[in-house]
Amino acid sequence: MKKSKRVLALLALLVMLASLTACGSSAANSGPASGGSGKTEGEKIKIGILFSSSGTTAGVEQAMINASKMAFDEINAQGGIAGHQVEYIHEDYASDPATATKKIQKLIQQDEVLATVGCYTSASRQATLPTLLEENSLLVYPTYTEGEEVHPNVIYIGAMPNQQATDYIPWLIENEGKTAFLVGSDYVFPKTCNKQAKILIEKFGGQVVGEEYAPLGSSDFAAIVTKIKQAKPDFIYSDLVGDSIVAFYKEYKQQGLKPEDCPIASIATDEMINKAMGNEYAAGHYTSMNYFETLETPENKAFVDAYYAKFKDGSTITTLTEAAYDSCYFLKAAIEKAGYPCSTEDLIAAFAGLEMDAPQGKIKVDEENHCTWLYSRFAKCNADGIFAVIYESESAIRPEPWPQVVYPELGGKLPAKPY
Amino acid sequence: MKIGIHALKKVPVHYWIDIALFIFILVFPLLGFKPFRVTYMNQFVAYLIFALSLDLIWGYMGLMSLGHAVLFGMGGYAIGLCAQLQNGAPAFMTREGMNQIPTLLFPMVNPIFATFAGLLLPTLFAFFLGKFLFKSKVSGVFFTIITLALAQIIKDLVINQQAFTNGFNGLQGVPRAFLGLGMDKTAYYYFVAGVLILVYVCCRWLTNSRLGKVAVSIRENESRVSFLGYNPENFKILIFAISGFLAGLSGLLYAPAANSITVEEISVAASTFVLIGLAVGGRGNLTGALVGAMGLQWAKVLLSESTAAYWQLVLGAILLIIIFVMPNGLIGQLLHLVYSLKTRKHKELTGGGA
Amino acid sequence: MSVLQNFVSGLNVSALLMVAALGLVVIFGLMKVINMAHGELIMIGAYMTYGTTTVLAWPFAAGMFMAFLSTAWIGIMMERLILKKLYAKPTETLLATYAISLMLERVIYFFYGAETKFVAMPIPGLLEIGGITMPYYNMFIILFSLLLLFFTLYLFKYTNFGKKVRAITQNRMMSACLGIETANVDTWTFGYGAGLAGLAGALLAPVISVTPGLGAPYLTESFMTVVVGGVQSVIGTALGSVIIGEMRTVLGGFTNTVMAKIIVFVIIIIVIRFKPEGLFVTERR
Repeated sequence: MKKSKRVLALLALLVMLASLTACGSSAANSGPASGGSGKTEGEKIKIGILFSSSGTTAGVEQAMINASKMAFDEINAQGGIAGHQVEYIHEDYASDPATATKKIQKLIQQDEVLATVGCYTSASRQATLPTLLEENSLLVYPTYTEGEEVHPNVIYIGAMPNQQATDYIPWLIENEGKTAFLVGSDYVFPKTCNKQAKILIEKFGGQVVGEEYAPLGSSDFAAIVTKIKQAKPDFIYSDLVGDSIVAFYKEYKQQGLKPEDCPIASIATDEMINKAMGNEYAAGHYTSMNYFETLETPENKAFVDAYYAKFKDGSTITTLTEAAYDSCYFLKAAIEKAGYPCSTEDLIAAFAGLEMDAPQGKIKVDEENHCTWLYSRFAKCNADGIFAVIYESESAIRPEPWPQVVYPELGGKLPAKPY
Repeated sequence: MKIGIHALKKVPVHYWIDIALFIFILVFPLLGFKPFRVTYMNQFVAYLIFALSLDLIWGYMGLMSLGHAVLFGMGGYAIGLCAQLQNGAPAFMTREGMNQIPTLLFPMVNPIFATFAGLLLPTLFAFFLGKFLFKSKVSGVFFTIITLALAQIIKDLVINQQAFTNGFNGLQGVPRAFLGLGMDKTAYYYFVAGVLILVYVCCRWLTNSRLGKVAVSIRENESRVSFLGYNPENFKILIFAISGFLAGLSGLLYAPAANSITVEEISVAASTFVLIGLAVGGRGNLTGALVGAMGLQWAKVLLSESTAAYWQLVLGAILLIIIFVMPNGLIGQLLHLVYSLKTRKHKELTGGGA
Repeated sequence: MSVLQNFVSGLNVSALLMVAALGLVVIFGLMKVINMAHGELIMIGAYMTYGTTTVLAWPFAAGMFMAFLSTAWIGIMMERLILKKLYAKPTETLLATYAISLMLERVIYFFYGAETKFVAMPIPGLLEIGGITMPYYNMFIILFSLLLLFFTLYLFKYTNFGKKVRAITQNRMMSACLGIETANVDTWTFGYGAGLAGLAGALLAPVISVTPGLGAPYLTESFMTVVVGGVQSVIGTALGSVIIGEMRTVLGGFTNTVMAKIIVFVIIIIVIRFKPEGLFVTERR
């Protein structure tokens, strides 16, 4: 008995030593840099994909990983970028900003990626910024975001607040009523968006009758819904994100609120969340997004069919999925425009004015502010849990990282220190 | 000369491991790894101070804290806030309607003050928490549960008080500096390594001193210690405060190395990760803390690069194996083996018999 | 008015907390095991309910049953294979259960993916009296949790099994000497506690989003509840959950949710400081 225990102990020690040396040697192998400048025709273009496949936001980011991989696989099947095949390297930042810093360093220094498509949370994006600047590398960021940041090393493909709210709020006030209750998750994205929303609501003759924030990931909405019931708003403007949305919509219905009287107008409730909460809770509420899965453009049909043919993991296409997919194609177009091999400066410069026929329609990267012209759309969820688009801008709308309504003094331009 | 060698032989075997580890840390930047590996190492070296601080209270006093990362965070946030305040009120303050730096935070603009705040705050916090808890005989599992709750509250509070902490996004862009003295990557690396060695020497001295011996006796049998005329509470409070100081120091050095400090780093999970490192390396001998924490950090980084999805499974498995096969951890087991070899030799020399 | 509404809503929060904490008091009170995997057991209960009601389209009651059975089975396995060998080593059991929690979470990722899962509301509709509303499902949760409370009390007070459990709690060695098969009693108690966690998950599944990280917040709150109520008192835990649930919801009506939570936690810590044995435990050994 005792002997066997000792043998076991020895074995475990050996295994650990072996794994440690294995780790060490793999690290050592990656040491020497592969020859830098002499890029040849057959050489692959390395691109990083930085999304979480573990941690709290993994559920959202899975479809973004899928879409990026699909885009690069398609690009490779079509002959690659300027004759070069793409080699993508996926790293998991585990929904943790500090890990995002570590991983972007690894992608840039060890894998020597030309650019990275990635990041979902604002926190993770901000965590990569110092490294991007220091290493002079590029991040293509697909998530809709709070704006008030234009980093020289980031191209923002996701929506800026003005692209979600400028057309949405006047419509809501006109069609649903003048009083609004703001509910958001307690962090920078909802707070910044609400700052703009409040100004817009008042500008169009509405009134904010309440503003509440719930901790990220919170599922306890009893007190907040009671406050809403007391305030009796005409609509609820929600920038809740993630798991909180489901809990909030359910508590809303459980406490007897009805979308006919007081619908929830969200800027973050998407197809995936509708699926998770069920049709009876999702029906009758509004969402403002640049893209909905149900859009009837030929590009979108091809995209949706290809996605579901390729991935049967139960993931759902949302605006984030489309943005991740667009990001990869924008990157391809930019590399082609700059000519490979290219410097990061040339590559970033090449993005300005780049246009593409995305699933959501014709969009382009702004010439000045690194953000993307996108469509403004909003939809009402019907009884089958499907978004029926009720408004669509005629063409893509200009992104304003510093919205004019909030910062009239800037006039839609960038401030002196944009990050 | 002969005496010298003899003296060397008397140095316990785990001291040699410590020395080897320090040499490894010191030569690491020269081994030709990519710079980001050195940056990782810099963060891990800062974390080792945290591991030592946790070993003082867990290994030597038997108090398992799931909230120790909060003290770590106080150091990190102090220096992070100082960095953010350098150019007037940062974006997260103006967003919440504070266009001026609040008067209360004004001293924090000074990096020297911020450094002292980052060291003093966790020390005092640990001191008063210790005073509050240990005087009422809160011990064992209750201590663990209270620290669990405390970590949760403070994390919630940090996320909630965005005007001071930037909430969930944390404080980014902390420059490599100490007491306002900016350093380049290499200088900062060796600075942190130097501090670690200094802290290690102090911890060794402390644990070999009367204080450390009393701490161990408190762990083994608290009431007996008090029968012997010591006041175990005061010892506990003192060591807890020292441990708080070291945790704060660790955070203070970590934030610049990592360039940021976020709520993830003060969470229960962060504390638990270092606790696991201690369990794997072996607690109560300092060496185990160093080896375990360093090994686990590298394992996490390297395994998550190849098999991202399975890292958690691997971590769980390592921990279970250690608990069952080597309850004293790697170093604890090694010391045990060496000890039993020595006693066997001793028995042979003295002709057996006990 | 809103205070009253919050009070009514708070009952529901309390009931959920009670079911989660009952599982813990059984495990923690009897065996002094800090079960860090408790949150993950709740999560697995929710996933089992998803599998039964959404994938297999069986009724909700079957989901609850499956949730109880599966988590009880996991609990029994945990106890038999791992914890059994670590008794009287609180730190080791804590670490071992933490290791298990890491692995369980990953296993669920592996089988179900990370996307939020849908569980239908089994009892829709609500009751409204004078502006105060209460969903039927919340009433069901409250009734069910009371039922569970009485069953647990009965189980530990009046059945043969319960008497053995209490004997072991008081003096393990002596009970073993008297011929009580302590090992078996431990296993079944742990299994029952784990099963209760699974039931809590089943009850939660229709009202919140089912994700692999679902259980984590409930771990701390369940521990708080147990500690406030008294670690060996089932009744104390029930009262503790009412206090915490109500305080949080009613306070949440006056300030924001986070502040309410923080205030409650601070009060709890002060309570533990002065009454480490719990609010509702009078006897002292």
